[in-house]
Amino acid sequence: MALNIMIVDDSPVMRSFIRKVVGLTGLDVGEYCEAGDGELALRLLRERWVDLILTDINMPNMNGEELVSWLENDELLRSIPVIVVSTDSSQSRVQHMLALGAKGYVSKPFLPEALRDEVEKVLSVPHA
Amino acid sequence: MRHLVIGVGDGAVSQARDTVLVTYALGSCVAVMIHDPVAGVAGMVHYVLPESSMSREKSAARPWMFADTGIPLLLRIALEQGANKRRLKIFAAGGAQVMDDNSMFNIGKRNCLALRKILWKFGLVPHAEETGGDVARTVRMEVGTGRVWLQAAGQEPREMSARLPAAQCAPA
Amino acid sequence: MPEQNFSQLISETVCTVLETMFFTVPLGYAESKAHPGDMEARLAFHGHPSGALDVCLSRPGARMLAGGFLGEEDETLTDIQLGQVTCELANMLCGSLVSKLEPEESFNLDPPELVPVRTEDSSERESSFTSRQSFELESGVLTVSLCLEAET
Repeated sequence: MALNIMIVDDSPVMRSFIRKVVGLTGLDVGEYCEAGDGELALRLLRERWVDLILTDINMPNMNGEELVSWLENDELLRSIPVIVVSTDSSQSRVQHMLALGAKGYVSKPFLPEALRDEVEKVLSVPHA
Repeated sequence: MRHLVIGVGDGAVSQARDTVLVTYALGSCVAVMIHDPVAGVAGMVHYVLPESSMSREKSAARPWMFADTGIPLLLRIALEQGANKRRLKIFAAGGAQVMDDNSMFNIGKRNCLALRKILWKFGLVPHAEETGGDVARTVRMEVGTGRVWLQAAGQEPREMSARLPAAQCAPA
Repeated sequence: MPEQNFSQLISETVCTVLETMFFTVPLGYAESKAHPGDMEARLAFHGHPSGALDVCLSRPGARMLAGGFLGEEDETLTDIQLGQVTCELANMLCGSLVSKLEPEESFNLDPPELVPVRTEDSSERESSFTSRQSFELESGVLTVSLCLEAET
């Protein structure tokens, strides 16, 4: 069954990079849904279902921390796994985002296969 | 088993199940090996330099010599022989720092980065990599099985294992 | 932190970021000189300390880095893409640098913005420290400037 993937980052080129990385997983992706900030992400989530959200933290309007909090407090949306992809690699931030409900965390810069592995881990894709 | 030796600045693609592709003495050079387990296509390139712009005359005559001509050529021939990009297992070895090259940007490292850059253009990354360091390496790939053995100078041969996501596994 | 340590920090961060996501590393150090046509991005960061990071890329350098990052042929890229990649480079360099400066601290980064290229050095704000390094790339030059605000 095809999966819908949401990518939330204020950088269009980073969204392209992440999209390409998801392609490495070989997963059957139905639709990529992109947003430049948390506010737009939430609006889009009212219109369509996604199976995974990859989000940055530092974004205008609504940042990634606020987005993850919002999702966790929504009965329906909290079931969507979230992976944070951020330049902030401090342990305090990582722990905080995981405590807020994120299921994975990858620090920028990252090797493409590092994010690929995190996506597979969060979606419980078995390996050879 | 028939051994097909890939020389320095050379490459080949094969579907002969009784053949082993082998290349020797990888110093700063890099060997890229690909295998499609369904189509039974395997290929290897042993390139010397990252960019063909370094020598336009040579790149026309010897495309395997450069990463930016050799890797695309390897992929193109493999696809023409029935390989599917999404099924490919990709191995890489070499890119050592040889001699006394302590420049910020030695050729072995440049070759390794060229590998990743060019594969990324195709939406690919290596599944297994044994690169860098300062030892020469020899690699062998069985065309029939796709198994790869690596021997670093002064060490025993060992198999390189590719970690594949489930979506890329060949059907049973 | 002494200036030479900031310089080393910038060098290490540039090498790591370029190698990891742009598939290249600097060939060596270069002279810092901006030219019209270069791409320059700046962003502020807020924490302890606060400050700003400025990244100036010669156009050939921007094209090469964008091609590597996006996995596209350099010649096909638009100026908009070059600008966006320059901004993302600045974002990643800044995030990595401040994480190294204070590993236990969390920082907030403003969105990076393209700015008019400054062809002469001018300081716009009070700063306790500025460190600048220029790097020769396979194509062009990258200059990274770190500006720290005086702690009040």
